[in-house]
Amino acid sequence: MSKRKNKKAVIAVLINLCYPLASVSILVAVYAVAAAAANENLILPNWGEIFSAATNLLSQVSFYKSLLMTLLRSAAAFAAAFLIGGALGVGAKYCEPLRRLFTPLMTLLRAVPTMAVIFLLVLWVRSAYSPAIVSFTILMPLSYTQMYNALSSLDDGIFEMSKVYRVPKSRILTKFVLPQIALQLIEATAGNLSFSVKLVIAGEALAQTASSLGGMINNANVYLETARLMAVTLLAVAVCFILEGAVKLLLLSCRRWQ
Amino acid sequence: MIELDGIVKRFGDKTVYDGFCARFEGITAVMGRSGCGKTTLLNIVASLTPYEGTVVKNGNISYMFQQPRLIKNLTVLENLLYVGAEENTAKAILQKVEVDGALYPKQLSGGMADRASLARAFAADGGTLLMDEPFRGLDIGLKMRIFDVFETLYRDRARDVLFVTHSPLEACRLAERAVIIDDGKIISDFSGDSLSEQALTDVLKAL
Repeated sequence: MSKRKNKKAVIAVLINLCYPLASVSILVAVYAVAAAAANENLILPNWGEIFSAATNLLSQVSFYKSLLMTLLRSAAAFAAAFLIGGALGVGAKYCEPLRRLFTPLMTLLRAVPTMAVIFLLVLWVRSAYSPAIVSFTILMPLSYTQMYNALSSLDDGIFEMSKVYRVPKSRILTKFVLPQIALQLIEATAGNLSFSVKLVIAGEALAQTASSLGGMINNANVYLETARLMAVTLLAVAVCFILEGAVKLLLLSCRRWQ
Repeated sequence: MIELDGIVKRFGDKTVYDGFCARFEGITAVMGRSGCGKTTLLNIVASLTPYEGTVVKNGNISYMFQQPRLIKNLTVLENLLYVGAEENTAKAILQKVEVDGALYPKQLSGGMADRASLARAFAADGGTLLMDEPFRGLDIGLKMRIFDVFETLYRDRARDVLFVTHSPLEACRLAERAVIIDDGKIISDFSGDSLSEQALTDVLKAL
């Protein structure tokens, strides 16, 4: 019986893998056809050139330093946005005047065009810091909303039941509130983390930050090294995939009860 | 014993109770039209809603709500421990209600979730049990099984029970006394021989 169940589970995993593999294969094939049709390496380098550029990048210490710095900036921006946005979200949920105070502020931050934020911060702040601040500015209202929504989705009936049974507040927090909001926050976090990498790279490219993936992309663009530009882009995409995958694995371990 | 004295409860301009007084002991069914304040009465006893007046009750409160209100990320046994039940007691009660304590709420059928909620109410350290239409939406076969479970638990862990129902059958099967509330007052009170499905139905029909 359990062997049959295992076999079914393996088949389900394989089927689930088939779809992303198929969509990636389609993209790769469409690009290969387009590159062959264009026959212009400056505009659409073929896969061989991109692969060669990627191999070259992976053999350079400077690439790993740039990757590390970009990831550090992304992680710092993400953590600051999560902590500050999360704290403001908690405040807004449990204090009506704070909610009314924050709502227009968050709406304003969300409405400001990302590019405008990037350009202004590039002007105001040193290029090493501006990408992280750009990412923080965009992510903070998101984290605020995610925390507010996670807290709002908690079942009021459970709080009422806990009150009747005189459940201590510490137990309500550890057994009910934290496990339930953690799940939602981890789910949102997976997206925020890779979004943070994207924002930081955009900021770095515009600020021409030294030791950064964005800086490498900008340089490749300036020197018309399209294959290198695409190789950096693909490696950044791979990093985002790995980050999201790691968070989703964490999510699976939390989801036993679902 | 649950004693209510001079209870005043208003929702905005609407007065639900104005000087309500009553004393309940044993198992009492509370009946009446929808919106007459039955659930409000339970919420007053459980201090879940603000009110004026005095409520005296025996020990802590256990409450079986209309919905089971089980915590999704905890197993059934953990749900019982969450309200402060002692582990051995919780396991023994779960055995009586025939619910596997290792299951999560999502794995329970409606009837099982109700039995788990009943188990939680009896496992908690309480002198007074409140039940708000606890058997609503269950088919008659399942209802009869849960009535049996309720009676077994009540025999073992007797306490004052106040339960809201619209069903004369439930009231006669489980309660020692049934009161019918209208306009914030007890308009009929049945116990002993006077408590019958027909008598309750007649009064409820006339409301």
